[in-house]
Amino acid sequence: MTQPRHTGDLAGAYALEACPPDEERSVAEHLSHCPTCAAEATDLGRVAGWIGASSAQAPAADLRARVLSAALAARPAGRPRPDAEAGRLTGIYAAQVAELDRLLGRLSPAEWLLPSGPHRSVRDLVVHLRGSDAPVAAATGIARLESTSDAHLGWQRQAGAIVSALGDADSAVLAERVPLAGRTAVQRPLREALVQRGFETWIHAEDVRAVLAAPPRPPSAAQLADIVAFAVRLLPAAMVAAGREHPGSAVRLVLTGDGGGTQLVRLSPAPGSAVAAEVSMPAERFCRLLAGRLTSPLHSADVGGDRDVATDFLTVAATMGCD
Amino acid sequence: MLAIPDEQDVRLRAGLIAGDEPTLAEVYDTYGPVVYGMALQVTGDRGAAEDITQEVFVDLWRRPERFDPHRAPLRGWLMLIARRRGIDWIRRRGTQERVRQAALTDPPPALVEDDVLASTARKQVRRAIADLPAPHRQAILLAYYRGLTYREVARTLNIPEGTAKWRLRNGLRRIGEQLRAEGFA
Repeated sequence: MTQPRHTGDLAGAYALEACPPDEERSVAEHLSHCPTCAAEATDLGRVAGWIGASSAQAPAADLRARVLSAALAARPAGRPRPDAEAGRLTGIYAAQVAELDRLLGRLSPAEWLLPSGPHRSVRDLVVHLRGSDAPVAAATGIARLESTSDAHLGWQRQAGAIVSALGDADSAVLAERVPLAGRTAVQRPLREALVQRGFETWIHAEDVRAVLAAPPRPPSAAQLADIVAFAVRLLPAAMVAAGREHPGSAVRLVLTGDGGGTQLVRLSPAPGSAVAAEVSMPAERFCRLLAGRLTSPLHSADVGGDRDVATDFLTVAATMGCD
Repeated sequence: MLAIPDEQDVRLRAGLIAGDEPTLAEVYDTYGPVVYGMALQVTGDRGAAEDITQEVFVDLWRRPERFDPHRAPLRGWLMLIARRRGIDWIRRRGTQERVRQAALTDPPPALVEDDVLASTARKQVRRAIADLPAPHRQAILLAYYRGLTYREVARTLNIPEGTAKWRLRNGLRRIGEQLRAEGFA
């Protein structure tokens, strides 16, 4: 039998979900470009809905309490679903992955061997990036990926798997604690690690752009704001780790431009935040500073107040990246 | 497929995503009867219908973002899930033969008739189904409540596949015509 041009009598079966899967697909395909059949499908679908609704029946009264308490046990009230957030963060990361992938595709074999950022070669950089991504990949439960000696492919496969695993992650997954790249002693929620992955991927894309003599490209305002928030959370402990803490003191960080804003950054985990200094610069430059990509971090900002405090702050901030 | 999503559905979805408990209660109160009724109609088993109702609402609460108001109204979407789960339940449970026997009789009569949810409309729909010629009615009930494909409907009723398809389409059309004549939109 030849495939009918129109849905014909299948319209009824389709409305009742009574088509075998292959026919269901071909009907759906046909409906997407045939308004006449689509109108009938909508019509009959509505009738099917009426039939369904006609079986409505009040459940026993005690079912209500049972259902609501089971729901609240599965997910407590007042806890917003982070999926929108997982989708957003994964989207930002995926955009940087796509961009770096594109840049790597443009490299000649000779360019793969040129120094890039702090690395001896682009190849080393990509292998390093893959290693930095690995804890996040592991936490998302990605099945073992086929091993490959191709640095580009190996990184790209793993990054792609992270994107598909986290795009619709639920709250439990995003809250899971994972070691951060470059500072494995620090365990942070996966959502923060994902911000860090996007941050590092962007910075390495900048490194590769330098190899290609392509102009720099700032991240979106949203990504800049995420990176700043990520770093600001880690800074108090990082001040201590560097032996440069100022308990009770804070820096007023004034970031301008896309992703900017003003916030108080405490200079140790101790309580209290008396403003000892003010540091001001564009948010994008602050992100480059965090990544250790500014040649003179101490002269990158307008500083007010206690210069020693500001110097300690900028010095530690410049170590927040991961090579 | 819906050009404009229903405003109330959009509001309910946002409330569920935010984790708002009153919204959960509102959704249950609004759609509990269609979900439970559908599950009961398909399974013919109160316990199973209650379990399915619980699963449907717990899943909705856990992953409300899966509901896309641009594709279907919330009521239709929840009914669809309840129906599929009910069909899974009878498939797990019953032999084909039992399913067939159950299907050949009309769906079980309402166990209680006390809920007020659009009860007039419900009666109109039930009457329209009852007014169908028996072969049409059987085909529709087998497909809709037993989850049979039109090919399985044909085998079960021992009729050609083309006839089964035609009865499904024609039966739905007749119901639609009768209800629209009575003011359904």
